Parts: sequence; structure tokens; C-alpha cells
Amino acid sequence: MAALNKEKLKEMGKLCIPGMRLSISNKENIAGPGTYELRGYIYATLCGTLKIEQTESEVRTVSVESPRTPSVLPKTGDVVTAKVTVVNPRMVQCSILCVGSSVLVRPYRGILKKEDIKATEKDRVDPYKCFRPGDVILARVLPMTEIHWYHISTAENELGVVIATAEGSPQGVSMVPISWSEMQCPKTLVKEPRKVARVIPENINHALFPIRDNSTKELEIEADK
Amino acid sequence: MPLDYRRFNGPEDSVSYKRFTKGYLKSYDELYKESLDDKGVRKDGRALSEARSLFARTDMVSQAKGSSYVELRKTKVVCSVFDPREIPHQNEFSQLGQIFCEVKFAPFSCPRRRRPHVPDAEEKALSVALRKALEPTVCRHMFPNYQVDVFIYILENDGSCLSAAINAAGLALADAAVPMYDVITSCTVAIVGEKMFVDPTEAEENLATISPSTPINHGIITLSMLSELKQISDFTQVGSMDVECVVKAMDILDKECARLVPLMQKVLVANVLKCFETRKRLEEEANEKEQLLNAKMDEWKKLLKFT
Amino acid sequence: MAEIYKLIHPVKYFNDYLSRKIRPDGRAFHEQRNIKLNVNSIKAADASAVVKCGNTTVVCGIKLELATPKAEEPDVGFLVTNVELPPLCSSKYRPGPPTDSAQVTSTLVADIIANSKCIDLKDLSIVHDKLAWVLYCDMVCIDNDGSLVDACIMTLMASLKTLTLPKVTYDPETEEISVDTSVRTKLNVNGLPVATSFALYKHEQSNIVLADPSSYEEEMCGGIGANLITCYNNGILCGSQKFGGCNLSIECEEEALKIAKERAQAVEEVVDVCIKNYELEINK
Repeated sequence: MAALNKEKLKEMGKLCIPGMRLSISNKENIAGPGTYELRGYIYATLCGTLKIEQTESEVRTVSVESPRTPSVLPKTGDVVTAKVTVVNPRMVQCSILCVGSSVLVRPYRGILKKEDIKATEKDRVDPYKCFRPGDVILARVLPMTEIHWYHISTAENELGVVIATAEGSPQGVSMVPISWSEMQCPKTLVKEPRKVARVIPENINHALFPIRDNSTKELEIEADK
Repeated sequence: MPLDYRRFNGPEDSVSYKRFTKGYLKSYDELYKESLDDKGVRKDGRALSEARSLFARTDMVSQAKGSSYVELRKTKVVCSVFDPREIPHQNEFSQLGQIFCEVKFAPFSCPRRRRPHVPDAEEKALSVALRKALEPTVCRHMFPNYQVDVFIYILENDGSCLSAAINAAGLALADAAVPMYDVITSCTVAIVGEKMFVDPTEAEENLATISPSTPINHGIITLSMLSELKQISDFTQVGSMDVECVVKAMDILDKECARLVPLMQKVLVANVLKCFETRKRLEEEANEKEQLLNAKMDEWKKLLKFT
Repeated sequence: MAEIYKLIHPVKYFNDYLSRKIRPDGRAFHEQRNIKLNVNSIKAADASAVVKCGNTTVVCGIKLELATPKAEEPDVGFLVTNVELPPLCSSKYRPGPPTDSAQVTSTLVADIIANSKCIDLKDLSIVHDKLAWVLYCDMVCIDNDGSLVDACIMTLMASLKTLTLPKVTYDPETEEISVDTSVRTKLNVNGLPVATSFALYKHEQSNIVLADPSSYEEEMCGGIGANLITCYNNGILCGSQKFGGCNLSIECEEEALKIAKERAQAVEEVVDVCIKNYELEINK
């Protein structure tokens, strides 16, 4: 068992569990996600593997990557996938389903205000011409100002509707974008206005969150402690 | 007592048959003799300072984000943890997230009597003690305005419930990838006079809570520790005892908690390995699916070009 | 990626699998999950059993008590069955009193047990009009991954089959009761009711019957819990309930009944083997 695990461990990198001292905390080593700093050292807060990234010259970010979605909430600046639930003249309400590439077990509520829909011509935006209930959108999380509601924004070319079904079309048939403000159903050929996200690469999440080369340090692995 | 309309109730006057068995009521001395013989050996064959072997595993409940199961011989505890959720009826902005704990005994868990379905005072007290123990452990600033639910279900109670619950909750939180400062471990000691029963059974706990006719030290102490940080996260004492006794007990408990740490670490490491394996398998499956999807996309694109 | 797809296109995701004649967890439509059974693992209860059908885990414990029988039924004891769905078994439940679905499950289990006549309540009587046994059977769900009723019935029956009643002597003059725990008699159990759950789904104009559905499948088929629950005892149908889901064609029903009958035999075998092993162990 131990011998078998050794090989697997090499592939995974160093294992961490909460409270494990990872490195000294100084100018060269910064605590990243999944870690915390205490009295000059960096400790792990999650179960997972150690990731050390060389961000700039001489500066390394020490972080822990969990095999599960960490039980933390969407943070300011995160790109989230959300489903539109309510559209009214002032704002759009939605439920946040994914943060980056990780699926949330519980959806969180999000609000997209009228002025945050587009980057230009903020006053002339009509939410009805941008979103409809049931649309799946990409959005960025704004700083949290209200309890239980996340404010999000689609004021970027890459953000907006990615999946939408035209009125009267059967379930599961998504429209195809034909311009930055219109989508068309391939089956019924109905055109509907939307705030379209610019590109839909086949693998959205890989494009947004490229899996970086992990320059894991070859550290001694304590496998069967 | 008001009737519970949501459940089936038995007759009101029912009593456990154990009340009519021989030797139901025992005197204090008899109980003491039963728990500890002249050679200092306990009823289940342990020495006074010997704890029961702890069995623990994670991933017990498939529907929960994180879960664990802890067994101390007969004491059996299941714990599950869910993702942060909105705090009901809260209107103030709070920087720190909250931990909601609920400890519940199974109706058949206690050897003496049938537990009621409605939460009783003991369950409430355990829930609060558990919450207090977990609060310093979890990085609560990571989920402001939200709460993490920790549910404990005690299937069988044979003493040291609180420490079993804390150990289980620590494992389940780590399994759910809730950020934590350290691994938490906990242990209980029951004190009867000069004798200290480490990791007591239900009978020994019962003995320690009865006040004897002569005033001697008696009571139960539960301690939970963050071993790497050398911090005590919770200290619960029931009963009356002098200061030297408490100091001595804490010393014993400190060592016991430290003894449990490698065991917990082992469970967590095994958990990480397992998670990675499942993730790898899922990724492979996803890749396969993605390829299929891509093929379909091409088909669609071709169709579009025609029209 | 697959998880995201499942979240964003739930119906499409499910249909994709079904059109390939497979279920999302890799089973065939009629395939059931593995059953694991363990009896008498909880010593604090008078009889207990733990069952695991796939991920669904239910623990049953029986506590014995004595009471005076009802005046209108002086020769009848009590069998009190309750199903507990604590919040830890699924994210759908909140702490507090039992939810509607928990009450429905509780009633369903009680009905099945009463209808199957597997326990004669007269066996629980000790002294006419004076004393009778009360069997408190609590089934606690630890992990709810669908087909809850099947698991509840199975663990309840396994516990009842291992239950022994201690000898009670009642002095009519002094009204004194004494219990001798060294002499125990087994409770008479007539047959073994086995419930089988199904989920019904309408897929491309045809009805699909999914045996032993997981909680995800139950949700996709639009029900709280399974859509069809049938129960057999000794080869005789003793209960059949239909809750929501798509309509049921005659062929589908026949198909479901056949599966349920086969399953009843299989489960009976599992329970018998488990109890036999347990009895061998204690007699050693």
C-alpha cells in the first residue's frame, strides 16, 4: 500500500492538512489561498496539496489546493456563472451557480444593477433587452455591500449571456450569438436581443482559468505518518 | 407534556422494562465497585489512564459536503457539514461567519431511557459546547454574513459524547474543505475522588456526576486542543473539585489530545488521497464527454453554414 | 466540466444518459444498488440493524417498554414506528420538527407494516387488560440518497427479526411486575415485507421505469421521494403507492411489479443470511 501510494504522491505533490507549517513568511514567501500567516510562518488551512508559484522574481506564493471546492464564498473579482431568475426595469436578479470552474453546492443570490450591465451608455440600458429569466450568464463579483446579496457586473466584453433559449423554442435548444447584442435560435430562427458575452470558447473555464504549470518543489514527502 | 402531532406516539404511561429487573437500583458503593475493581481495572478491562481505541473515517454521508464517523468502542457519532448558507433573520453585517451546531441523540442511543424526539437540555448544552470549541478553529472571516452548519447525530452513547462529537466535527470540517487553523482533538476525563477515569464510559460518567455522601472530588472535564498552535479551544467542567485536581486532569487530557493528533492526521491524509483519485476519474470522464460535445458542436456549425 | 453541464442543463444532462440506456451513476434501468446489512450493532437498543442500499443508510433501533393496553383493545400491544430525517442526512432538511415529507414517509412505513400483518399485535400482550409490550421502533436516516422507504422497511424487519422479549411475571394481587432478562423469547414475525421504489420518467414518448432510484433521479423525475412504491410480503402484494412523476402505463406497472417480486426474494435472502450469521456468532 505504502509503495503504491508513493508514486501517486509524487504525481500529486506534498500533502497538507490544516495547521501544518509550510514555510517562513517573508518578502520572498507570501501566503496564498488556503493558507494563513502566524508569527512569521505560513500554515495550511485546508486539506490538499502544496502549490508554490513563482509570481515575480524572488517572490513565491505558497498556497494549498484542495481536491474539493473550498467551502468559501464567491470573492470580489471572481468570475461567476449565474442563472437569471428575475428581470425588472431597474435590475436583474440571479442565482450564482459556479465560481470559476468549481460548482457550488448551494446557489447564492446575486443582483445585477441596470448600470452594471454594460460598460458604455449606462443610462440607456434596458434590462429586458439584455437578459431574460433562465439565461445563463457570466459575471464578475463586485464588493459586497449588502448581507446575503452579491452585486455582480457584466460591464466587460467577455461577460454576459452565454446560454439562452429563445421564447417558444424547445427546452435545451440554445441560441447562437450573431452579434454583440443579438442571438438567434438555430431551430426556429427567432432572433432575440441579449447582452452577449464576446467569445464562447469550447472550454470556457480552461480559457478563463488556465491550469498553470505547477512548479512544485521537490520536498520530502511524509506519506504514512 | 403537549402531544407531538407530527409523530406516532406510544401510550403515555409506558416505562422501560429495565425498571422491573433485578438490581435496577444500586447504591453508590455498588456502582463504584462495579466500575473499578480492587486491582484498579475498569469494567471493560482497561487501566484507569487507558483510553479506548478511536476509529474514525471521513466521507460517511454522500449528500453532505463533508462528513465523518467516529467510534469509541460503543460510542458512535456521525457528523456532517454543509456549505455556508444565509443566516435566517439576520439584518446586521457581521465580519465573522457563524457556526451552527446541532447535537442530537438517537431515541435508542442511551442505555437507561428512551430519548425524546424534541431537543432536550442536554442536547442544547452539548450543541453550545461544540460551537464554542469549533469557533476558534475555523477561519470564520472567510465567510462573513453566512453560517456553516455542523450536524452531529449520536447513534449510541457510551460516554465521552462531547469529545467524540468534537473529534468528528473537526474531521468533517476538514473533509468539507472549510478553512481551519489547526486540527482539533478532544478528550474527556471523569473524576471520582482520587481516581481519574480517562475516556469514561456512560456508567463511569454517571458515577462521577452522582454526589457522594462524603464531600470528595467528582465531576467530568472535557478539553479540546489545537495541537500545532498549542491552544485550548474549549474546556468544559461539570461537578465540584479542587484546583490541584483540575490541574492534574488538564495535564492528563493535554497528553491524551496530543496522542490523538497523528491518528487524525492519518485519516485526513487518507481522505485527501481518496479525493484526488475520484477527481482524477471525474476529469477523465469529463474529457471524454467534452470530446463528444465538440463533435456535436462541429455538426451544429456545419448545419448553420448551410442555412 | 461535467458537473457544470449538469447544473446548467439539468434536463439535457439526464436525457443524454437515458437515451444511451444508462443511468447517471452507471446502472442499467432495472439494476438495483448493493445492499449491506448489519444487525445488532447498537448495544444500547434492545434490537437494532443498519442497512446501506448504495449510499442510502438507515439505522433502526428498538426500545422495549411496558404499558397498560388501551381499554377498548385489552389484548393488543403497541408497535410505534417513526422515521427520523435529521438535517444531517441531506441538505434538503432543516433542524426542527419533522418536515411534511418525513411525516409522509413515517405514515407510509407504518401503513406497510400494518397492512402486511407481519407482526400480530396480540403477541405483544402480556396480561389481559393489565400489561402489554410497547415496541418503539425508530428508524433514523443517516444518508438519504433515494429509495428511503425500501431501506426503512428492510432495517425495521431485520431488527424485529432479531428482537427477543424478556420474560415478565405479573402478580395479580400485589400488581407487582418483575422482569427476568435471562429468559428471552423471540418475537413472532410472519413473513418479511419488502418495499421496492421506482422512479418514472417520460423520455421521448416512452415511459421509463428506474428501479431503486437515487435522490438525484427522484428529483429529476419530479417527486419528493420515489414515484412508485410497491411492497410484497410472502409473494402477496401488501401495498402500492404512486406519488407524482409521469403517468404509468399498464406494461410499466407489470414490469415494476415483476421487479419488485424478484427483489423481495433477493432481500429476504440477504436478511436471512445476515441473521443466521449473527445467530451463529452469539451461540458460539
